[in-house]
Amino acid sequence: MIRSYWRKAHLLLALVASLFLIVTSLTGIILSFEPVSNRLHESHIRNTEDGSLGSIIHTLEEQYLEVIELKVDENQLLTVSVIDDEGEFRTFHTNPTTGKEVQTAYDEAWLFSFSRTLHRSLFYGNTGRLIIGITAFLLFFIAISGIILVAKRQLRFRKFFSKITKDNPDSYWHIVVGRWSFPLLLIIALTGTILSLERFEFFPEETEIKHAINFDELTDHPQVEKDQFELFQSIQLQDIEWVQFPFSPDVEDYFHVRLTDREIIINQFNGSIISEKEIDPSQQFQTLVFNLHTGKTSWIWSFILGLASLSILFFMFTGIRIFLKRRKRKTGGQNIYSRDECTVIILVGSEGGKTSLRAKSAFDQLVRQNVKVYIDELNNYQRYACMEHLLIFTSTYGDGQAPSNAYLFPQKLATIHQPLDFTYSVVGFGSIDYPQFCQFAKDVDELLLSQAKKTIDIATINKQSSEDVNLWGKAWSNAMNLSPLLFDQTPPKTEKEETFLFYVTGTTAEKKSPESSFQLTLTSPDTSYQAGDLLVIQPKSDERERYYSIGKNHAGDLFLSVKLHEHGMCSNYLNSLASGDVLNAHIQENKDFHLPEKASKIICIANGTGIAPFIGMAFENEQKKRLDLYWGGRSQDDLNNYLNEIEHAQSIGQLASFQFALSRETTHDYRYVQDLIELNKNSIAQSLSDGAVLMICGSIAMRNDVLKLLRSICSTNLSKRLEDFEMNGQIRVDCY
Amino acid sequence: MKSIIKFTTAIALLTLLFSFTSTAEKKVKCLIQMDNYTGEGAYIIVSLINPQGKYEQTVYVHGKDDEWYHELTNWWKFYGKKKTRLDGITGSTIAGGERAMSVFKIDASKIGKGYKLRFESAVEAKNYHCPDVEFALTTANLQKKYNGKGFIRYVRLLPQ
Repeated sequence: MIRSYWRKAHLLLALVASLFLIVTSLTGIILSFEPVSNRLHESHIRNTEDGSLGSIIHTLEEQYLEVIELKVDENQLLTVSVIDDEGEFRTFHTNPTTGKEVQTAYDEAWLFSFSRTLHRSLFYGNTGRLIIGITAFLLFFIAISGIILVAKRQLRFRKFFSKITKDNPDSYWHIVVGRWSFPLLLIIALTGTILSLERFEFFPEETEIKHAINFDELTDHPQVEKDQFELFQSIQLQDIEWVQFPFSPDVEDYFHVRLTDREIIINQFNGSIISEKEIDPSQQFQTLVFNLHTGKTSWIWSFILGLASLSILFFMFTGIRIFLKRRKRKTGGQNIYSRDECTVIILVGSEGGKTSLRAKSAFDQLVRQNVKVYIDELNNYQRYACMEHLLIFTSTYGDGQAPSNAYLFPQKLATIHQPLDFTYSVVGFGSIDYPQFCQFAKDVDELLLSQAKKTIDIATINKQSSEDVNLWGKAWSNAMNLSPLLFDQTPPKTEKEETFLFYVTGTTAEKKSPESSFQLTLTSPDTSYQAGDLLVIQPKSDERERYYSIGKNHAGDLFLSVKLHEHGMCSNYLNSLASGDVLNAHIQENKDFHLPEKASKIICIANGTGIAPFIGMAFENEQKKRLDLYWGGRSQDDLNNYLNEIEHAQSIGQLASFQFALSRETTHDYRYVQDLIELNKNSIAQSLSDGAVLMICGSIAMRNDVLKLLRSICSTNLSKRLEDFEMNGQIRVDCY
Repeated sequence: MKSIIKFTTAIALLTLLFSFTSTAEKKVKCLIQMDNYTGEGAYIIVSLINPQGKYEQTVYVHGKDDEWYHELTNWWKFYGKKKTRLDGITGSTIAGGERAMSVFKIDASKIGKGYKLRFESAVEAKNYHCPDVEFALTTANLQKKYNGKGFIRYVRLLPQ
């Protein structure tokens, strides 16, 4: 998963650098105000209308006995050294218009000098500078990995600035701010790195400019007033680093002017250029880097840099929140004790995950009460060495059936005998809108009666009602001599933060004929999944969620095959999506229906759109285990929908064989996938007894037929019961 | 009571100081041009040396950070004990290749009486040169150019 690799890099780099990034951003924000404060200082070089060197020389020479030096420092403040009328040598900040000493002393604000030292070296000398340099370098890579993540999220670079779909405010703003500030962050990070390198003499020392002066040719004619020198008229203060005035009126003494890009030696009598040398480009580059990083030459730039620093703090804040949310999703409801040391076993049957959340809440509360409690899915029912109480939370699926993670329970219950006597209670979840309200829970409750004693009667919870569930919690805790269990007032929602954005990368949804199927390919930068997991889509907030088995195509994109129902809200919604559209959905893990890790061979049986997860498994089958796929569809058109992917999987050796039946093509030999099973029954029986895993995905009618067929194959060919294979996980079903 | 005594002594000292400075003094413009060494800015001390070869007065100090003063060991032996005030006679350190100008005040009565002017230089984590430049304090010598032996390339002087 290349995306999660980038995300990990982004997070890890940020965490490593976080402490220093906080320090440097905070001080950076403070320092960004320095150029503004300098700009307000009276001796700032822009505090004059005529900023030419000639005019400042004129002003200064009028007021002082002698001018010795003029400097424009990195803060853009003008400093002069003069000998005043009393013959005193003095150096001071000067007003560039009046040439007068600026009386308001330029005491660098304590806050700025403190911030700068902290920003540069953490008050820790060269070691500190090295750390800051590395931090800057890390920031560079954080910005780069961030850009890549945004690009991947937006699918491609040219959509980098297109609309972002708002899923959770933290990640939304993280991206919005990120894509505008990343150029600034790159500049800050790169210039910061270079400035640190300079300190370690990484760059060649400035080569001293050697002026060749032929002293014999110097002349004091014609004499021109210094401030009238053409050159001085044209040089502006902002281009000056310093000007050294002639030491004495000797013809061999001269003006020495250093500009940002060159040095000039000027005859002090006639203003002619004696020597002119370019400043080493690497030196100019370093000045540019310094100005870019500090914003010393422009308070507007500095203000922008300040905002960029602020954005770093913002990224850390939202980034940490995104990270914590992600973590929270992964933990919770985890078992603490091993199965065989627990006295209370909670088993869950849940399709949408809401019932699971209730069960997990009960689990967490019991853990806090120091009850040795274990939580698992109903399908995993087994022998529990210390079980005294069995607590079952289950919803009902469809027409009174078991949810996908609970359907094995009745069979397992019949065959597994618990070592200890135990009591039980059942909580059923459902909706009274359905005629078979909590039917599966009721069935389970009745089945258990033959083996154990009820603690309290079955409770049926309507639409996750917290009143109902709390009533039960109270009664149950009473019966168990525990402190009462309390559940949230608001029914647990499959939380918004759990939904991810999926981008449509391809669709075949042009057909409008009902009962046909179409395929979507999707990608999501934020989540990962395996073939066989379920994509849960809620087309409108008040609508029931729909589940689709996840497949993958050859490119690793999520591959969805959807049957179009004429009045199907969700299938029509999916049909309306075009390439580039965005879809909100969440992933429900379906561990039992992943590509089996330990199987000797995998037999996949599907009809209709149930083929999608198997195509995905074929592309996940990098170990190239033998994978046989049997599929029943309606027409050649149906088949063509999948043929490309199937052939691709076969060509790379990850799908061993593919056999199909078509119910509406009379020219074809086989009509139903059951026919194919019948045809291959001997080899299937052999494979099962050799440890193959057989997986079924598709319609319930097909499942029932196939299971019936398998039952007879098992008994005639292997003289075994189908249940034996079901119970050791060799037969796995995901049907709807 | 004590503070009053302190105050009066301070006033007395100041008056004394003022009376000294008001004696005839010679102002000399001085240009120090540094050699092209790499490293931190150099500390340079200009001192008046009496005919016995002892330090008599600190004329000028380039380098304001007094925590480094002890590195100029010869001068430190003289200055470090008393720590006379250096107000008005200090400037910044001078880095390699740079030059700096300053104006000294020299007691006119000491010119041509066997006194000397001494320039000594030191750079953090580098050498200490003492003297870097030294010459007899005469009227003629106060308008010459002197080549240095250490961090100083040359010193030029010009009486005002």
